[in-house]
Amino acid sequence: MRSAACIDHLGLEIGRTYALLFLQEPTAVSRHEAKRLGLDLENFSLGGGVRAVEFRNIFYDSLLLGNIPRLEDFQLMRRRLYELQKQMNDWRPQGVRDLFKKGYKDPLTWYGFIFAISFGLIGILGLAVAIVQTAATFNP
Amino acid sequence: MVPYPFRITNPGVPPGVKDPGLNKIRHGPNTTRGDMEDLALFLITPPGSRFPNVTRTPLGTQFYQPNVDAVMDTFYWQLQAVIFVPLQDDDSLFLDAYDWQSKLGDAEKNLLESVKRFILHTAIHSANARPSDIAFDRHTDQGDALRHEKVDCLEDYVKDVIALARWLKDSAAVTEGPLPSLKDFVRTRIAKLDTLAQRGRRSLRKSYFAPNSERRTHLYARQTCCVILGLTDDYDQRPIFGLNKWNKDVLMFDNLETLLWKGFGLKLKGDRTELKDMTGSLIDLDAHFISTGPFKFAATTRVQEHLTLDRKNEIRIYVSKSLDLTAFMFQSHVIARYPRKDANN
Repeated sequence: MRSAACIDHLGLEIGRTYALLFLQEPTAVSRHEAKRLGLDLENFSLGGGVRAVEFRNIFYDSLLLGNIPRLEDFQLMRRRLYELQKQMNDWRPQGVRDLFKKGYKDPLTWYGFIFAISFGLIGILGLAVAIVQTAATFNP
Repeated sequence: MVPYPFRITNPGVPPGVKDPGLNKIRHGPNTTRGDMEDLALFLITPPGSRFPNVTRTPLGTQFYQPNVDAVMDTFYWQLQAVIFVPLQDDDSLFLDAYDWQSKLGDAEKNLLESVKRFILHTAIHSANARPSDIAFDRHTDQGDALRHEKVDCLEDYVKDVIALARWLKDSAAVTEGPLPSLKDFVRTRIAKLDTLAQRGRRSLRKSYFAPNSERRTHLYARQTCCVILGLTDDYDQRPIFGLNKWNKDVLMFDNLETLLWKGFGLKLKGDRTELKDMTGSLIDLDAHFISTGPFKFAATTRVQEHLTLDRKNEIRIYVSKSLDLTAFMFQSHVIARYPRKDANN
């Protein structure tokens, strides 16, 4: 049977995006983020007396290509994942505050910037100390 | 003691199922506003208790589900047949791998309960004839006269839902040319029902699908389409259809394509050529990695916002209270997976 509107797997695909985001590297941070959003990704309840199944087994391990998640594994959500990934890669600082946020792409530039800022601050601090010391010498 | 037309004879069993008064409300043709008032009161009154001395006081605006079932289960099969593929005909690979039909049944039941509550909500609202508010003028000078005013029966609203579900199904089956317009559907149905009424084959519709009601009927039809596709909190967030105000804030659309785009952020039948170019690894789409950068996560209850970025650089994640039900929502939904004529090609 083929779908006319082609949205019959929407709920399942949403479940797989949860697995992609929060269970790909199930670290404490990922778990915390899922919990903060109110998502229970431990077990997937099937109801009707059927035992609960581990969420990851259902929604993550079914991803193709050696369990490395790829855009091709998604149909309905592929465009959104693609755009999200693009937005992550294209993110650039828009204000002064953003300068201190590390982007997702090319972290070397950000570390270089932080390194330069640190040395700049040390330089300015050194200059200030030198000025104070000189002033103190002439005005004992 | 409040007037209570549906006597409870057997505590624990949904009351009033075979009550003649209830059949009049269900099938007409002489349903009155007074009947709808009694129905409203019945729906918000708690079901009977096993203990005879417990006082049953109507509470708030929420419909009690056993009462909703008692009134609407007559129409259950009609609604089920038009919205869902029978479970035995479901050939989903997912279901072959995991025998999860009970959960599928639960998802189906939830959606149908939402449809039933919506029909009752609409019928009661329309009977009041004051679109902005629901309040029953029992004690005004004209109160008695108002109670005898004729209104549309529940079957009329059920037939509307069935007709709109068929319209959605036909829209989904269109392979070439423009998609059917909801405006045209509304106009045609109004004319059809009016012609039948002129010929004496049915009573004239009083509210939606009545003559000169195109604008408000379009809103009602849009609302109905959203309910059929589960695009409402009533499905798995919180019950919203009860004895409350009529919501005029409904998605604007005139065909299935716009409905799917605005409602779910999805293109009708996908765009396979465009998707073909979207390839690559998703290894960086990981919550831990994302949270080290400028983007954060935020919950949303709207499917169309899932995985989209808002102005505050927050990735919105669709959060459902009953994720397991949502996952099965469209598995056997007739519009989501209506078999096309070229299914075997």
